[in-house]
Amino acid sequence: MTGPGALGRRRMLGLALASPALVVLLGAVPEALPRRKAKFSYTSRELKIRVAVPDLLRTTDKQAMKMLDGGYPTRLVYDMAVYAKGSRTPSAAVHVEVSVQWDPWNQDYIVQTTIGAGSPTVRRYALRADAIKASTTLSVAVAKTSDIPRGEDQIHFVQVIAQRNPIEAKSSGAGGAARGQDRDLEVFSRWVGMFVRTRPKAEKVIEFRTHPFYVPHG
Amino acid sequence: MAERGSSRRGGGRSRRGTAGFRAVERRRELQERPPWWGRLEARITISLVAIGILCVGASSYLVALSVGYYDQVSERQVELQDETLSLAEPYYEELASAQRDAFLARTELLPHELGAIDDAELEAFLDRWIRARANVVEVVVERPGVEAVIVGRPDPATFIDERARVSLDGWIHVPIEWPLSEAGGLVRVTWAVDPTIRTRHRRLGELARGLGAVEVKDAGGEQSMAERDEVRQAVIAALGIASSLVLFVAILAGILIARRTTRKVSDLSSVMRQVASGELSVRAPRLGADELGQLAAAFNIMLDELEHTRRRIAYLQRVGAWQEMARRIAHEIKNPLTPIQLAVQQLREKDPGTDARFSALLRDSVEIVEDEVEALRRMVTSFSQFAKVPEVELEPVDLGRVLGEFERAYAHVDAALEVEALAEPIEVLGDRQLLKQVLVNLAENAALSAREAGVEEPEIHVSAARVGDRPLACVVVEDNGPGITAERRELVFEPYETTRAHGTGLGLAIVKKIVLDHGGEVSVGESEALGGARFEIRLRLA
Repeated sequence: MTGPGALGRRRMLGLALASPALVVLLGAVPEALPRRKAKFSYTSRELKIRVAVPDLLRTTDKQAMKMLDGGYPTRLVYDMAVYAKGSRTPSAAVHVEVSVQWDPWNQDYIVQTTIGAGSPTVRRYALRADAIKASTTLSVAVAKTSDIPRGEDQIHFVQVIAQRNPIEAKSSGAGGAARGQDRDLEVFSRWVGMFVRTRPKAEKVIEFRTHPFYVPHG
Repeated sequence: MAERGSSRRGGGRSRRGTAGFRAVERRRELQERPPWWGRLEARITISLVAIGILCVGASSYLVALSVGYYDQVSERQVELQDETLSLAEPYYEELASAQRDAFLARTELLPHELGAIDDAELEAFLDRWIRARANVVEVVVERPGVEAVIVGRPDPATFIDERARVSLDGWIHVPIEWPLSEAGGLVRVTWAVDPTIRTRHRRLGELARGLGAVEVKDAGGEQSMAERDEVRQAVIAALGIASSLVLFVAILAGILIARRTTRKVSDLSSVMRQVASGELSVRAPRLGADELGQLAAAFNIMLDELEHTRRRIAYLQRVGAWQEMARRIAHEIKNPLTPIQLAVQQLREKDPGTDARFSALLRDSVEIVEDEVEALRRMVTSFSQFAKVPEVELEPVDLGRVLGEFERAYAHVDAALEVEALAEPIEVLGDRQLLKQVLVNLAENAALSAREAGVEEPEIHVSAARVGDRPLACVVVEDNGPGITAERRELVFEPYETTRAHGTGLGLAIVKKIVLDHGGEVSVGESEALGGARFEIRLRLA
């Protein structure tokens, strides 16, 4: 005799046992990312997002501030993608690059923002905190409104991957031409590369998703 | 004393008994295989594995030391580079500050120059002033109560520095303001700074960020950056796994080589143990041409000689026993023969001849008895000859002389005897008289066998020659008789073994005994030339 209570307990037990495996499996799924708040607005043409990632570049990060005040540019790269709930394919995506740099001639900070393949826009700030806030707070069009299905039952969220000073991977083209000891060295370096467990993609990487939203019918 | 002697004898038996027991124990121990750790294969394998582990471990340790050493060197280089970059970093700020100060100083001069210029000539003056300075983009003059005058470089997009190939628009603009006069107003001069400085500083920043990181390639050849510690651990892990693979291959190869090498020793050991336990018929397998192969071959030769000697001794013992028996039989039979013969002769002489039938019966009986006595006498003679084969006295003997004397003395043999002349003088170690007896026995055996087989003209061929490079001579006696079947070739030399109706079976036994006493060999086969038997006698050269 199996009652509904027994079935529920079994289901709960099964979920409890499977949850660690689910966490591992869903690690790459956008919906499994931590959630942060963001503001959404829309016009007839585009859907805009306003989101802040203050932990990407903090004034308490001494190394980052040292580099910034030393006049070295700091690159902040944002990749944002709009997902319909339950889907793993983005409806729209945008790539934003922000560069913050101290200008010792004009005694101010330059914040240069490039959205997609567009032209860069430059803003200047006398205070470092203002420059950091401007570079870590984005207000961009993330999708065309026409690309987003409307209605209360059409739930979306935005996945944000923010990187500080990302490391560009280079493709080596000299591997095939090497001979003798150079070729062995090439093979050995690849062999060693197989045992490097952590390959940092950037100085800092923050991944999250926004709270769900929907675009009402017009 | 008697007791002591008895005790000694008893002690002697006890010692012999103990020695026999020990021999049995030793044979039993030899038949048992040693435990696995005591076997040669296991020892060699363990040794090879230990050597492999030692070598790979030592190499790995040296490699780890090398990696650590170069890591230290690299760390020192990184520290130096970091220090260098730290020292270079302020120059950018200081350079910008110095340039800004210079721009400020030059901007300060402009109001003084403008003091004597009236409004009508202001624009023309400013234009000249800008043209006279390559890095001025624009000048703005604001006078109190008057509209500001703005004069810019007429051709800002042109290259002001042909080497840099950078237009003025791409330069860093630095606007500097300064009061025009105490009455008010200001001048603002926008200066241009070569952007290469910023580009270089940006590159410096990239280097500073990459300091301490190492480029690594993944399996696809794509490069990425990784921390030095991480790379060092990866190198050690990669070397560890590679060394483990090498060690595994070395162990595998070691086991295979050890097994291949020790299998020969094991085979040889197995054969030796069987020989030690009394089994002399076994032989070591062929083990190649190396030292073990030579050892196996030498061991087989030794076994062959041992077997040959054992058979020779057994044969001589057997013949010796038969000789003793023959001597006793001859003695026992020979003694009553003469009285018997005298008695029957007396009976024949004392026959009165009164009864013709009785006389005929007596005569026949006496003849029968005399025939049998004669037969017995011949047998006794043969037995005596067999029992009294003299001891061999070895000395260098000319084989040609032996053959010649044999031919002359025994030409009466009832057969066509042909003795082949020697191609070269051959001197053997032997007893001339006994060697002649050997030839006589063989010749008589051949002639009688041929006669009994119905051969009308028996032929006997005797020859001798050296045996290749060996220190042996071979005497061959062939005939055209019935020959000897392969099954009987070993038996014909046994005493009292004969197929002839009137043979005693002692002739060939005497032949073999004499030949063996000479240290030689005798064998029988089939004659290809005459179709009968072929006896080969091998004697040692002198």
